[in-house]
Amino acid sequence: MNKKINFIIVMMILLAVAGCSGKKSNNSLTDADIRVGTDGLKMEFLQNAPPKNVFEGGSFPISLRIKNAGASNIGDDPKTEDVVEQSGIVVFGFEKAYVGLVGNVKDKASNLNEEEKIALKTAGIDEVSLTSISTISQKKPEDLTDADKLLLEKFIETLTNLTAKKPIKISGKQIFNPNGDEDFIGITAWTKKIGGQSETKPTTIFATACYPYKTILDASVCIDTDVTGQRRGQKSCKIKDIDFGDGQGAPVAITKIETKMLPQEDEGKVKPHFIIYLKNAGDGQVIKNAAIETACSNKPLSYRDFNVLNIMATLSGVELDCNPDESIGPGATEARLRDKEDMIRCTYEGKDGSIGIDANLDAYTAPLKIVLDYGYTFTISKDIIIEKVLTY
Amino acid sequence: MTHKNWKKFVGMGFLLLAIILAGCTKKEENIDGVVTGTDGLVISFVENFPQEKYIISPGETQSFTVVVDVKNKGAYSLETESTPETGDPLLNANLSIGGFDKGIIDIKPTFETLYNKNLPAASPLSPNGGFDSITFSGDIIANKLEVNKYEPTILATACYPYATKAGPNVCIDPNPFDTKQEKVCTLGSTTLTSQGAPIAVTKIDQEASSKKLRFKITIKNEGNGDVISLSSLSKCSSPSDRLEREDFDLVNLTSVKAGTVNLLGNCSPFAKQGTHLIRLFDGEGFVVCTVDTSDASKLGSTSAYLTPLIVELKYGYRTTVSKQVSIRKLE
Repeated sequence: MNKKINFIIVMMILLAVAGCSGKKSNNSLTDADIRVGTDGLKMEFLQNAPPKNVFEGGSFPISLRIKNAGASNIGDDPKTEDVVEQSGIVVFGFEKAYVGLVGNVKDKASNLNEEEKIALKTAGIDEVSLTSISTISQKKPEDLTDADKLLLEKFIETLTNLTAKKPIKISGKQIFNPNGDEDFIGITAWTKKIGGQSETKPTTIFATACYPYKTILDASVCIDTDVTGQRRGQKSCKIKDIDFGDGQGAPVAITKIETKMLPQEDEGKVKPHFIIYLKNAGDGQVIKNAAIETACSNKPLSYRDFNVLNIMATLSGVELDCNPDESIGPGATEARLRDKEDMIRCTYEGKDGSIGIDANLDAYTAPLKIVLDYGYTFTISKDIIIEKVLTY
Repeated sequence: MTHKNWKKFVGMGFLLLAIILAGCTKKEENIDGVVTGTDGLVISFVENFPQEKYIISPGETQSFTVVVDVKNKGAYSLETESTPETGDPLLNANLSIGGFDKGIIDIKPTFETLYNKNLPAASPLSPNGGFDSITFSGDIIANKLEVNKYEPTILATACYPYATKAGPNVCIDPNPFDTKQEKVCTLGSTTLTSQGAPIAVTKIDQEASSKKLRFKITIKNEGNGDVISLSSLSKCSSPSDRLEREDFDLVNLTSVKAGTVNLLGNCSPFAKQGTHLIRLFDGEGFVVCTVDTSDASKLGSTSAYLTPLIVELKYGYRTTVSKQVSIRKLE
């Protein structure tokens, strides 16, 4: 009897469960929102590269894992061979008195690759000089002439600068690659003598990235020509401030857009007006696009090179006027961040010579695109200790 | 387990099943002889027209179709006469769509007339009323879409003429203050249910003086839309003209009869002089109509009697539905 009861109860539960609609996974391939977050390029030293302790006169690896965690490509996309974008740069820094990138000069002089040969030639070191470098490097320091020292210094400096500076091209997040690409950069460094009085010498290895980046915001904004809210009935949309707390997949984020409709003298027209709030939400510095190369070199940067970015905005494909100078008109405009933030005003002036938007139109949703174009730079570091090889 | 317990189990099982079945929705059928309700035209988007989500690639043009079902669930027929009169408000009845950037979603035209559609009134014989579908076809032009994600809300708006007819029984008493006479009815207020139209006559209040009997007829917008003056219906989809505040909340009182006695000429107040337009405030309005009880010959009786008070209203009505769509452009 008990079995019968159990069977009936189980059947009833099954029937009831069958009546419920099951939850179906509905994750679309194209639903991934890639323009989210405030990361751009991310960079870290690999474990033990450099190692925490290295020995005097020895070589050690320096390796970086770089990841483009934002939504903009750095350099042309190697996969799609898209439009060529400016490449980024990673440059390694160290105390040249204790760390170098050229080990045995004689071996190096006889084992140069094409890129190094071109760099040396550009620096004025031809084939003949290279042959003499092999000989000079064998001499004792006290036997070196001033010309020998100069040639050796130039050789080492040229090769160090070349090795320490690496161009980077790395794709950002894309719909079908929602995590962005990763790459590794590795170089070999050599420790120098740390002096007779020291058993150890702490020093620091730096890696600085300088790269171009873009923040692209795609938003749907409400264009309601009913400025005074007099019209009756349901509207397709309502004007409201839009907050973007999650970033757009780039270190500079658009945090908020305020929309206003400006009535015109001609009562039949209104001009949409947007107040765009920007913020450097990353850990690095915004630099001018043109200063990217300089930022990753030993040349100095002017204060005018920092915190400057270009802004370009379109509404329904029509460029907005974001320039405070009324005589300039629509197009890309330079903005300057103060305390990492700024606010830009952009106005829709009109299309094809007409002013604003016809005030007779019903409310509708229009696409607003904002593109911020800038350079970005940041530095990471790792402390190492150079140890003397003690033989007693 | 005893026989008694077994019965208990089966009983509980049936109870469980009954609870589950009770959760299912049940379609109600009203087989009452009179069409009631507060619906006039009911519009809705056909599922997947438009789709909730579109994915397009650069350079591509994708079709974008909006199909709107139009049902006449009310008691007023929107069927066209074979040769509609000039000025027939039905000629200005239309359904329009909007809410999107016309440079990106290219649909032409964005409105369609309703005057030649199959929209007879609901009736006891045809409780679902007339039904028709209207299709708007166009394209999403990917090259005009400069953003990766565009999320407009598509609005479909129907503007149409409609009418309400109510006929509650009221008491006509030529001698309201004569309490000695036995009467078939007494004066009082009557509360009404809906009449199969978005504007409903909700209440008839009666008040008598020695020579006059007054009816206060209260009407209310019970639907979800806006009431528009019949003469302004054409502005609803006009690209150059738009509905202004004064075009709203006006209902035309076309007829008031107590039995055979026409009261229309003895009604007030109206929104504009020389018209029979009742103004609604917060969706509600009223008109007071007077019967002269001093002349018994006009009433046809010297004692109290019950007669239908036929109230006919005509107005324009606007109803809107919306649906958000997401257009995703792949890079």
